[in-house]
Formats: sequence, C-alpha cells, structure tokens
Amino acid sequence: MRIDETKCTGCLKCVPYCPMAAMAKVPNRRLVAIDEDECIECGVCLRASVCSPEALYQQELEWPRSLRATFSDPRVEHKQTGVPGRGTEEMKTNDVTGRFGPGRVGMAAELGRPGTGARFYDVEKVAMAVASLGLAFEPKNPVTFLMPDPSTGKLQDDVLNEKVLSAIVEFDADLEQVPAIVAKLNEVAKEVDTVFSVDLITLVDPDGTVPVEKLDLASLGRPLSINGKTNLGLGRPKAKSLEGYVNESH
Amino acid sequence: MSHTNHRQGTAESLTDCFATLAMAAQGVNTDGASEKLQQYLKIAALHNPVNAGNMKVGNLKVVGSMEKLAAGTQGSIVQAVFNTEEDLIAFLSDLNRADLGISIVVTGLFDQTKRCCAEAGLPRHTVEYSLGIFGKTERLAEPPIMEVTTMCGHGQISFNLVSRIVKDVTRGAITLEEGTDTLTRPCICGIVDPVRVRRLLERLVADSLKPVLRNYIAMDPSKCDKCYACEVACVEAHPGNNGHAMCIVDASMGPAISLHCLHCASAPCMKACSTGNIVRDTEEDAVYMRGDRCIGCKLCVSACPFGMIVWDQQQGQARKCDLCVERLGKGEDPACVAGCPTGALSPADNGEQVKKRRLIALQTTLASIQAVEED
Repeated sequence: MRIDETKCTGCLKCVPYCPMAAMAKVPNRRLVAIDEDECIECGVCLRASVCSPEALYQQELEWPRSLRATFSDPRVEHKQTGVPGRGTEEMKTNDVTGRFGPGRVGMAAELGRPGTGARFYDVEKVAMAVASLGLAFEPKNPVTFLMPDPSTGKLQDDVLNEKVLSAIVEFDADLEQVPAIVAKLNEVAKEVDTVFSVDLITLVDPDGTVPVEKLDLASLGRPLSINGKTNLGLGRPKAKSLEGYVNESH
Repeated sequence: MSHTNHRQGTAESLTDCFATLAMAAQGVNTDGASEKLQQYLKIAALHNPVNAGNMKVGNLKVVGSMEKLAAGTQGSIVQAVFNTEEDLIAFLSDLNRADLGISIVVTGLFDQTKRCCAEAGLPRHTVEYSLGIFGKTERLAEPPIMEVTTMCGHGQISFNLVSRIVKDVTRGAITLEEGTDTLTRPCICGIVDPVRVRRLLERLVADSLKPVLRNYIAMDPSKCDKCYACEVACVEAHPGNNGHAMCIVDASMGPAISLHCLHCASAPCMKACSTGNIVRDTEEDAVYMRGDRCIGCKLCVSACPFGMIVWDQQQGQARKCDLCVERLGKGEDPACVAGCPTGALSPADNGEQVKKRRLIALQTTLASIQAVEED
C-alpha cells in the first residue's frame, strides 16, 4: 500500500487499522507514512474507507512482493490451489477429499497468527523442523509450492524476507507421532521472532470418540482447546478412502 | 485455513458463539457449487444469523443484506454466525434436509457443537483443535483485546484498532454500537460475532474506567503526638536503609505532618532511574528500589516532586519507601502504621480516603449551617 503525499492530510484515521502497526505520522509534517518493509499488502487500511482525500492506493506488486497480498488479503485466491484466504482446504472438505484418514492426524503451524505477521525465514525454520522429523507437507498448500525440495522444508531464497499476515506450514502424520511433533514445535518456537498457532485435525471414530483426546499433550504444555471446528460430513461425493470408516447414519 | 479456529477466551466468554461455513472441494464438487452456497445463505437467513459473509463479496455489515451476499458466490466460501443452540440446531437440521452436497463446518465450544450436531441428527465427521499459541507470545496484546481480534482468523482486526475504539467509547466520542460496528467491519468473511464484540468492548471500556487506586500511607495530623515512633519503626524494619527513616515527621510548620512517598501513578523517580533500580510491585502497587542497581547518580532525588527520595551520604545510594511490600504480602500493616501509638497513620487508597474526607467536610458544613439556623 502506498500513500499519495500530495493528498494525505495527516488526519491519522487510517493508522489504527494497520494490523502490523506499519503506519505512523511523519514528525513535524501533516502526513502519514507506511513502512514498506513492514507493510504486508493486506489492504485493511484501504478497505476501512476512512481516507476521505483518497490518498491511499494499491500499487502494482511484483514478485516476490506480490506474495504479501496473496497471503495477507483474504479475498485473493492462491493460483496454485484455487482457494482464497490462506489457500488450503484442510479439514473443511475432508468429508469429500479424505485428506485425513483413520489413524492419521492433520497438523498445521500458522506462522504470524494471531496478529503479529511473519517473515518467510521464520516459516522456513518451522518447515525445516517439521521436515527433520521425516514428515510430508500437504501438496495442496501454497507454502509447499515455495519449497524447491519439500523433503527439506527449505523455501526458495527470493521469498525469505517477505512479510505476510500469516502462512501455514501444513503436514500430516500418524496419531502416535503427535507428542514428538509437539515437542519439536515447542523447541523451534524458541527460535522464531513471531508467534504461530498450531492446529490438530482428526477423524471422529464411528462410535463418536475422538482419537486425539487420548493423547497426553497437557504434559507438553499444549492441552487441546475447548473450542474448535467440526466438519459435519455433508459434502458429496463422499471420500472413497473413508468408506466404511465414517459414521454415515444420516 | 482454519480461520474460525484459535479463538481466545474462557468457556464462559465463548458460550453461544457459533460460526459456520460452507465450501466446495476444488476439482471435486465445484460444478454447481455457486448455487448451493447461495442456498446455504438463504437457509441461514431463516435462523437469526448475527453475521454472515461471502469471502469474495464481503460481510453482512458492509454489504448490507443477505440477498446481496448471495450474489457472486462463484469459487467463494460463505459463512454465517449464530448466537443460540436453538438457532444452530434448526439451521443444521435444515441443511441436513436440504442435502446440498457441499462441505459444512461449524465452530464453537465442543461441548455445545457436539450436542447441537447430535440434536440435528448429524454425526461429526472430522474435528480440528487448537494447541494454542507458540513462540514470542510477548508480542501479543492483552487477553481481552485478543478475544476480539482472534474472532477473525485472517487477522484483519488490528490490536491497535481495538485499543483505539476502547479509548473513543470511554471518552464518549462514539457509542458502544458504533465501536462494535467499526470492529466488526474489517472481517471480510463475516465470521466475527458482533454480539460478542459488543460484550467484550463493554468489558474493556468498564475496565478502563475503573479508578486506579494507589496505595499510600494516609495521615491525620490532629492525632499525631510528634513521638517519632513511626520513624523508629521504619528504621528497624529496613536494616538495609542504614539508619534512614523513609517516613519523616515534620513539625516545622506548626502541626506535625508525617511525610511519605506517595507511590505516584506516573512515578517520576522510576522514569528518571536509568539503571532500572526503581520498579513497581504490581501486586501491592508500590514503587520500590531493588537496591543492587543504584549507581548513586541522584537523578531520582531531583525527579521526586515531594522530596521523598532520601540520600544516603555514607553509602552513596538513594533510599525510598517500599510501602513494606513484604509485610503487606503477609497481611500486616506497614511498619510505620503498626508502630504509630495514636492511630494517626493508616494505609489507604485514594478512592476511600477521598470519600471519607468529603464526608467529613460535608458533615462539618451541615453542622455549621445547623448552628447558624439555631442561632
């Protein structure tokens, strides 16, 4: 995002909207400036429609800066996956895709969430930690597309300094591997200059029990949340790989 | 992904806050999905949604109506938010009957969503938990602010916007409704629950209006006998102060006044100290010196507007009242208060003390009016 200096009156109305606190008044001038290195091109300030002289404008974004908008503006669709937002369907369509099968879990580390943003070099740190455990990244996730060799978790060099609102390192594993993964994530958490939120996804057993509830994650300081998401299994056609496993009484 | 996951808050705060969404799976059931997403929004409209949205179009607040939201669902994800179990159950039951064939996800407290799914005759297929926030959590805002911002998983509501709105509502520049509206609008998907935002905002405003009660030692000059027992008690209680009393009885102006550090809210001594020797005990709200970091620069001595920083010439260090935080922690009165034989000193907080003095002033005035009338 840019500010037309000839139009900006320095009213500061846009400033609090910036999720990265990258907007500030220029000292001794009636003008707001955007720290371009911190700006994630999310468009929140522009969409707030608070700038009456219309000084804010979206400049053309070239690679790799264009990545900022794709990962930070929820309206932008990721070209590789066709999904808007942060570009992955994860469990939202598991009833149709069967991405997460019996005995397996889906996991994700959402770098920069909530509210701090993340550079891709921190995304890479977490991805490399995950790769070191021999886990496979979700192929239909935009971060995986930035890995020249997904077995290492390394990202392509030209994107590393780009900052985004959040980017998701997504992978799956066996249920039994979860405690070791959480321990690894606890470790790499000390090395990143941002925060990340971690998701844990699992099928519900036909008798209604949830396999991950049996795991002891509280001793690792990471108990399961009291709230979260539930896929209701209403999608069609149903995933063939889950046939006979999922309760389909409705 | 998971933009409705990771919502912060206690079970109480998260109760009756349900976000639902519908989407097609790329390359599997995208054909004809646009109409199905429209139908989902139409059904949602029948069950008192408090918010709704279409990722390609915007949220209900910005777009204006459920009909407008339903235009342009091609390749989108649509959302609707409900505030009661009854509405959610009725909505899910309708979706079950409509058999749209697109994936539906519901977010909320698992205790509640589990019950609602069962009531609607829908066995749960897949669940997603949050394992919390890892990494540099010191970069996050305080919990009540996080409860508002994490309702939008895409991070479109900034920490600063919440602080700004709390300030504006507190000083009466905008109403609670206007504040709620401003905080709800940035979430394009329409999954923020405006009713919960209003509730949280109300609490944040109430918290910011709470009077800050500062602990200090209050004194009643009419009771002071000029015995200096408070000074002695202070010296005895703080061997490290090298014989210096931090409460000082001064009778030079006529009536004796016991001078104490006021543990100022903005504490100029603390701001002046360049080595971090002066800190605030958050529990007892007392400003005290750690002792080990004093370099004898005397900046705090100059900064204190009440002259309550004592200079220890012998040790070349500054001393000040610590409000006897250790004694307070044990439920005991500060040493000077405990040592005063006439009850002239008492630990007080501003609010209570001011109220008491106003009452006394009022009573005195009333008594003098009555005396005049009787004459």
